[in-house]
Amino acid sequence: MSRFSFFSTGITFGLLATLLLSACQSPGSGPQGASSGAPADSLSWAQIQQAARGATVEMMMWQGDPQINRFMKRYVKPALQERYGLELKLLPGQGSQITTLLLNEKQAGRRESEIDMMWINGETFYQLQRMDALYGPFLGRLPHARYLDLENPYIGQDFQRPIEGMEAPWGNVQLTVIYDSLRTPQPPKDLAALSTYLKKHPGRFTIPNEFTGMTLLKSWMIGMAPDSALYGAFDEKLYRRYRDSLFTWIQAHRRYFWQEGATFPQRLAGLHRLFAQGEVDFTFSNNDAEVENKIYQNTFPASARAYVYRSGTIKNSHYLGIVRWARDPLASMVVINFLLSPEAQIEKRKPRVWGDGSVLSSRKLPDSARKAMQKAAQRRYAPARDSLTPYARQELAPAYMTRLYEDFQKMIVEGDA
Amino acid sequence: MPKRAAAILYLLLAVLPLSAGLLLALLVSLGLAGFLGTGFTLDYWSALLGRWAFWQSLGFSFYIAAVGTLLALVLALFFTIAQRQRLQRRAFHTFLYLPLALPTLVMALYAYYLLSPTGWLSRLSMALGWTSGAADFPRLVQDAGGVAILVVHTLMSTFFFTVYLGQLWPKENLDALLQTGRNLGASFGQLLRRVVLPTLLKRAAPVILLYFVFALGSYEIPLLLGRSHPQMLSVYAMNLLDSYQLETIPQAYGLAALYTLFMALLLFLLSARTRLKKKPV
Repeated sequence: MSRFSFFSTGITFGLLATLLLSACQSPGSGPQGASSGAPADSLSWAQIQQAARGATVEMMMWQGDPQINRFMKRYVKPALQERYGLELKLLPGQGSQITTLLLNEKQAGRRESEIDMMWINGETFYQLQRMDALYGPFLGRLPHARYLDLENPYIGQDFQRPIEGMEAPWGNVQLTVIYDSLRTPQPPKDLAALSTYLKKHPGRFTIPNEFTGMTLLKSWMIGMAPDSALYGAFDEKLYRRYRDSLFTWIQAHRRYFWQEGATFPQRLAGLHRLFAQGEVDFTFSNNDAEVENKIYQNTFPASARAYVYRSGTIKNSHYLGIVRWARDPLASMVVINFLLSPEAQIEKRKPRVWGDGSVLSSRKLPDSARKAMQKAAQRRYAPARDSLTPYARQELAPAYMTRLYEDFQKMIVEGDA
Repeated sequence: MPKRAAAILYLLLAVLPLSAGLLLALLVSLGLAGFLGTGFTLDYWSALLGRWAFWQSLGFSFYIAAVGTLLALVLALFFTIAQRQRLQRRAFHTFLYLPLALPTLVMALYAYYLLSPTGWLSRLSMALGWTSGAADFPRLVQDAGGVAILVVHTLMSTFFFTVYLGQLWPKENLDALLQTGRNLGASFGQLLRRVVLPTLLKRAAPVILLYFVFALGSYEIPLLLGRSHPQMLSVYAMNLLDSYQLETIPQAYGLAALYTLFMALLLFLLSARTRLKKKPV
């Protein structure tokens, strides 16, 4: 057999084998045997805890912040082991990585997922719901859910969609602008002031081309529209109108951006690095306490501070979901219930630990927990949460995010500077 | 018997997964498989090929791979011809292998801290009074010409080619050939053009092409040192796969299929050319 005919026979053999495999499974069919409806209804919480003992839960989460990782490894993991006899394994991954992983598993018809639960936010929640990849509703089964502040639209709704028990709120944050108070004593508080600032200090500002950057753009869009005009279901006409206003502003100013607007940082960590090195004057964070974290980590100077634009910035929650075909959904529920406990929420709220906003309602908490929660909220460098609340804006429907990201790539990043 | 076992192993380990992956990629990109597979459609392909950014990305990738390989080859030829005796010393050999042993991401990070506007070179130039700040330093990272990407590729492949060409030299009996040439009165230029370059480049051609293919598909280096646009193909494909829009995933599969087919064609042409040359005249 010549080398070529051997090669072509090989390819043909491979193609045939794949065709057979594909034929065995219809495209788009999901894992067999998994159920998404009302899980574990017949079991009491004590029985669920008993069933979870000895289990290993694989949790996929963004691991880009050493302090968050430390909280999970040094506080959450040992507590779960000690109290519930279960092991929590952390796997790195976020947003579209989770979507792609579960999409591939669904296509392959896997019965058990590589992961049990994951840390998600609105746009991933939307995609996972589209894929029917979420287990639940489970939130109502968790004892600590009774403390949740679900009436609060920033918590009970994720990107304008009710969570309907299919994910559990974990933390609540607001987008802030981070600056160095020594270098920039008077930071621009609105777009008009930013315009003046950019012309005076060219090359010192940019927008990260990722989730936080898109949250910033959405915040600006909301600020350009009349009150609440963009809330509710996605509206193509409204979107186009305010996208055009937004992009007109960006195009008019991009020559004053970092690198004259010819390129944008692809990761937030990249923008943080530019800020820390003094190449730009501003960075952004979806966590209003991040400036404090980063000062404690010596990543940002002690003179770094954070603020919000007068036109408002988006405030949203991040959530925990369980995979529909998770190996151990019951043990995942036990993990999530612990993460929602007043104790774990208080620990997470401490700025030296993470500084993440709590999703529990202070009205519903016992006195001692309420006091401990208030104490944990005290900050040294980050702005007080109450001072940000008047400028909080709700998240928009998921399509605003996906469309804005796509159009930002095509019309700004790939467009002419 | 061992030949047949090797053939089966080759089929199972190399051909089957590759062709299965290629087929799946084609099916997904044509809407015939996957979560979004609702029936045959060319929408994903027209979205992929109809975007100017894709063609810019393709052009940028070829430019980086071609210029990076060419620069490295020129430098490696210089080292091999001019410094061959010195390079054969043990200490130099260790030095040559070092860049090859480092992961590409580490090399890219070094390049970032060396060449960025607030990097070591910029600080040195400020200390020497050549520039007054980061803004004055020429843009070498995330620049339009991909300078930093080229620097890392050149640095890594120069040593690789130097080691390889250095090994070819005695195998091709070049010392004896050069001596004969000199005895016949050939000048240095003639020896270079007629003996050294044709001999080395002909033997090294498959390796040069393979390195070109490697550079064309590189990911970590352009990810860290490249611009947000145009991106090298692998970064562009990952962004399609990693997008907030599920609809761009079939486009990423299409790009992967296209790339695999192109590489298969390239390797097939190369092996056909090699077979042709081996045939007795």
